[in-house]
Amino acid sequence: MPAACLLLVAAAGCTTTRLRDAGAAQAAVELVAVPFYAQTEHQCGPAALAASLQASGVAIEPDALVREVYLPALKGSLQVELQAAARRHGRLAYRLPPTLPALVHELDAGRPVLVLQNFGLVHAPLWHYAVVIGYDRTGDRFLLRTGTTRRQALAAARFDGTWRRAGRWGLVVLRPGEIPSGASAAEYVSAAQALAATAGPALATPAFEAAVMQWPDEGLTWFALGNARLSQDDPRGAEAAFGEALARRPGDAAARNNLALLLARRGCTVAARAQIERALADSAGTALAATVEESVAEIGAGGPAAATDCPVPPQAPPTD
Amino acid sequence: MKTRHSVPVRAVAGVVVTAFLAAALPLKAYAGMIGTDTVVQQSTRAENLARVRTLLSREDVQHRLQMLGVEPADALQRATALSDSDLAQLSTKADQLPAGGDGGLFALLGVVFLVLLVLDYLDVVNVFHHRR
Repeated sequence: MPAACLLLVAAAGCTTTRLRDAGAAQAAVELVAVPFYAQTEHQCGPAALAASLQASGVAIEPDALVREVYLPALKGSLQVELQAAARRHGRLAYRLPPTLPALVHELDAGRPVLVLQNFGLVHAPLWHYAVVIGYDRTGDRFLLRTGTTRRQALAAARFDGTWRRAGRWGLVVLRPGEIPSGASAAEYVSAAQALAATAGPALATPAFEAAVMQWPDEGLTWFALGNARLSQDDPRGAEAAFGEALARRPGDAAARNNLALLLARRGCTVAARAQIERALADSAGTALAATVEESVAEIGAGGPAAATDCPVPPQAPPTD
Repeated sequence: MKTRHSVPVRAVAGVVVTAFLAAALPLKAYAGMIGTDTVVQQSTRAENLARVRTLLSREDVQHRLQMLGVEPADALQRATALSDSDLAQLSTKADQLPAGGDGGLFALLGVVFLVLLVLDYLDVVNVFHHRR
């Protein structure tokens, strides 16, 4: 173990251009508008979260967050609870990829990053939450709001050492509709879905609308938007979104199942049957098969008279 | 057989049926709909698997695996059998591997460590005792 520590220190010592390597776009970034709350006792979690929430436009003080995220027995806060608390206040909590470039890109985009640091060893950790508010590329330093220090300039190599030992955990607190650079569609949709579950679909729908703008070619984003519109009582909007999802992923049995049910509900029984039969074939052997079979039964049971504005089911090509 | 109910009974029945329909309509509307959560879990798994696949296809990683007597193809096959959460953790580790193959000491140590970690996850060796 001591040998490993020496090696790590030596390796860190010979690198002095971490920010440049991480793709820092500007010579210096400092998000001066991010407020500072000096932590009291061990309450770095509430202080860091309050600063992040304030920066995203939520008026909240650390004291109000203590009850939500501070665990007296642990003398600290859990990461999942910080994420949950951000959602309770109507913000989308996105866990960044664990890399310096992801951190730097967010600062370039003007968003502070809530980070977990480990000032101890991997096996004897000393955890701490802080907010990274900028960097100084020429000096190769990160700028932090941390503990009782309003503005700490920490050598990038030193910062990364403490961050790496905490799994490079970094969180951005986003207004629904904001998307971090380098985000993955699946993880963003998943985070938006968690927001919808906590803060309600109305608040999360802008996030789903933004996701289809950011990833227009991903079937998943359109599928998620379809479900979001449905929960907002907009079945025609949902139908359109499921159609877009299918245009990108024709084999998406989940989108086709939902589209078929919507068609059936508004009286387009013929179109619904055509869709659900295709969904049944596409879902064969997958975890969705049982659900699709239930939909087949529901649609097959009939429904109101045919509506007049139904989509025409695709015709088989003439055989002669 | 009495088929006509008194007026109060019909009125009550009417209220009950209306209330039942009102309560049942939204439920019926969403019955059978497949939620985003269900589909997201599958997509995330596919992305994580792709990341681990990329890692295992790296020349330096393959070299290390072979030195330890493991066929990269076998390792990949084992990776596909991991649970969602194990796969997610493994793919996070893959992200932290030094990206450059410049052969520096730090990079080499990183690769050795990561390969051991991968093998640990895949139950080939048991170095880290991080679970079970």
